Amino acid sequence: MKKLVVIMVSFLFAIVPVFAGGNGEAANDSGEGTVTLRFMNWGSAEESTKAAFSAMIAKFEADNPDIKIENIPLPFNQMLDQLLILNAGGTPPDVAQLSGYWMSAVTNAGMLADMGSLVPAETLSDFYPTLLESLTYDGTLYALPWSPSPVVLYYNKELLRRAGIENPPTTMQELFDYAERISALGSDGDNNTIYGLGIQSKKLGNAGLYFLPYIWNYGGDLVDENGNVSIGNAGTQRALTVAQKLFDNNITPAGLEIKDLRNLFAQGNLGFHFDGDFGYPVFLGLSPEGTGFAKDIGITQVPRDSLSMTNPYLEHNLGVFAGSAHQEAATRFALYLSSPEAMAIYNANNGNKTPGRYSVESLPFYSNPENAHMQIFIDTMGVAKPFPQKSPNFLAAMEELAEGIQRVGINNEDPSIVTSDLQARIERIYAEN
Amino acid sequence: MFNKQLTKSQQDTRFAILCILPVFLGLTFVVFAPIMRAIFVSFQKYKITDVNPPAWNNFENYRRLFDTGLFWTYLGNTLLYIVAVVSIQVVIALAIALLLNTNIKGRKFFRGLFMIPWTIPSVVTALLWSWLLQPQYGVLNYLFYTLGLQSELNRLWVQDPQLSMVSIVITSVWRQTPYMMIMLLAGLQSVSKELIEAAEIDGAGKVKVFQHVVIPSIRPVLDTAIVVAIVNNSQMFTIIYNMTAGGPMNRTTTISIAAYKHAFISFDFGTGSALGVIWLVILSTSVYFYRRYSDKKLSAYL
Repeated sequence: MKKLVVIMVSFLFAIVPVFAGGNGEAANDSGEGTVTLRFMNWGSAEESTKAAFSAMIAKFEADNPDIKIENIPLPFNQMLDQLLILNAGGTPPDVAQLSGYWMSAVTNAGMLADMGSLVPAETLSDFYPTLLESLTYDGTLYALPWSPSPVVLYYNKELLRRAGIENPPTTMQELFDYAERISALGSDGDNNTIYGLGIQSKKLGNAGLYFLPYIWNYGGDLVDENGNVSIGNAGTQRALTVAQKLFDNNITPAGLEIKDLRNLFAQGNLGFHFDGDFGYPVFLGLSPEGTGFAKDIGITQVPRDSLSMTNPYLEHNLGVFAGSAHQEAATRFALYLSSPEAMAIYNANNGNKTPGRYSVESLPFYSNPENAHMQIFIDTMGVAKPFPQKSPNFLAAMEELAEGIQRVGINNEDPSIVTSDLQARIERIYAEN
Repeated sequence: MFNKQLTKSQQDTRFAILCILPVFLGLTFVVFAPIMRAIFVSFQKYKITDVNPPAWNNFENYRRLFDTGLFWTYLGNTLLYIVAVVSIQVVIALAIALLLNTNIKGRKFFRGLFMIPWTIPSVVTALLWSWLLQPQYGVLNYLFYTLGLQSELNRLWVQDPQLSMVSIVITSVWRQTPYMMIMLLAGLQSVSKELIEAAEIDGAGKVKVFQHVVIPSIRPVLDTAIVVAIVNNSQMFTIIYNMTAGGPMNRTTTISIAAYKHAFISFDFGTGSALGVIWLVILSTSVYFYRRYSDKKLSAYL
């Protein structure tokens, strides 16, 4: 009898973990005639935006009692992995917030529905054509633009004043010269170093992404007009050489990623920093002065030596999944999120969302003098171009570029060797597909 | 249920098998089956960003790993990391265990204190040390600079190619030493006092007693602790990924980090699995030969 009991207990201990996984299937219908949509996003996982997302969802549910939204927050860094794994496992969400430079990976995986067949042409005409074009792959529109975010140059007005600089830079050379002057201020009252310019140098795709404007400024690019890898050009080498000088002279702090640079800027220890419109509320949240820091924040377009060089922009999009059983309802929700009604709620709770639709431009938020800085973002969209993100290997290429920045900035390697290595490595990556 | 015609020994054997069987079945589902699946996938072109189904590609994933030469970088980093962490851990854990094996005041309190790092989750440990080593705001930089131990205030640690491996080794040793310490302490407490007394009577000093009595006595525990440490550190992912993500410039990319990056950054499950399989073979072979060597040494002492 004792032996039998021991065997049964052993069996129970062994078998429980096997069934601990559950069935992984979420109910998609919450009641008769009611549809539940699974909405994956990182906005609900971030302190600065979660209130806005909750408010938008609540409003939609109130106006659409036949649809319930199952909000699934995930940190930004995990979103793409989880989407790809869920899709491979046959359980994708219905709608997801997507970052622009993931689009090639998700479209290549066949995850997204054809928005051109789900959204009427008249509604599509309300979106900025350049944004629709960037989300169109082989003639198919795979997502709806939600909130483009032009990369702009933030500057600390107080540091510029102390360095004797009257106006923000308009050319890259001015930017580097002014950064040097700010760096010469030395340290603040707490002995923390003051840096002139932030350049990301941790090996993350983001670092490569934000370095492209420097390469563009000197006439280089990741790919040429035929889509061939062309990063091993003189523009890249020049940009890396300049970056090396900035790191060597401690004008730029080494080994940091964007959240570290945002922190430095918010603490008042960084003169110039490139970021999207979403950086602004983050600075105010991180600064010891809180919203009082707004008086010290200046915003201008990315400086360029040549007017032919355009400004890059990032974008947040909304994708409806091909595996969703409720594509029509999911499309209604996605259209609502990008509508003036939802954007009004978004801006009221978080602010600083650049419009992606003509109808959103007319919101009172944008004509309010207190939000005058938004005009910089809107004007910048007029001269902005997307990143060259249509290859499924774009992210991997940006990681290689980030490593190139580390090699010249931290390891002090020869920029010409690093440039030719980048060409070889990225060519090999692009050839793998 | 138990055939009374079987001998007692046979009955006990059958009972033992029945006890182990449920656990074995569970392990089959959650350990062996995924390993078999990974071996199978390692021979496929399997990218989850590719709408085409996975296709058999023989040894292509393996060939590509060796062609780029990156595999040797990953292997070198992994071996360096394991050797550094395990060897430092053994020395520190043994030293603390020897101290706690004496009749010092507050022994129980110190034992509890030394166990604290082990109770902190790895990801929290990684974040904690990342902040301690942060170039602009880290406490350690401020401390070393104030004490005159370094000339620059904003020294890079996890971002520096030379110091990044040092940073993760220190963090791993800090977290894992308590576990080894407890195992060695248990071993030390089982060393025969008569043997030690006999050696001292024969004129052996403390060093000779330690070398010829204590070490051989705790040899089985020491070997087990080292093997466990090697296996644990060969799988180490959390601390390395959260502190350096394998950087800068692949200086801390071990095989486990590389496998993750291939699978979840490049979304190439085939190559990620191939890395895992290669490491499985290397590790299993190493542990097998180490145990054989160790058993021979133990027999020689006994």
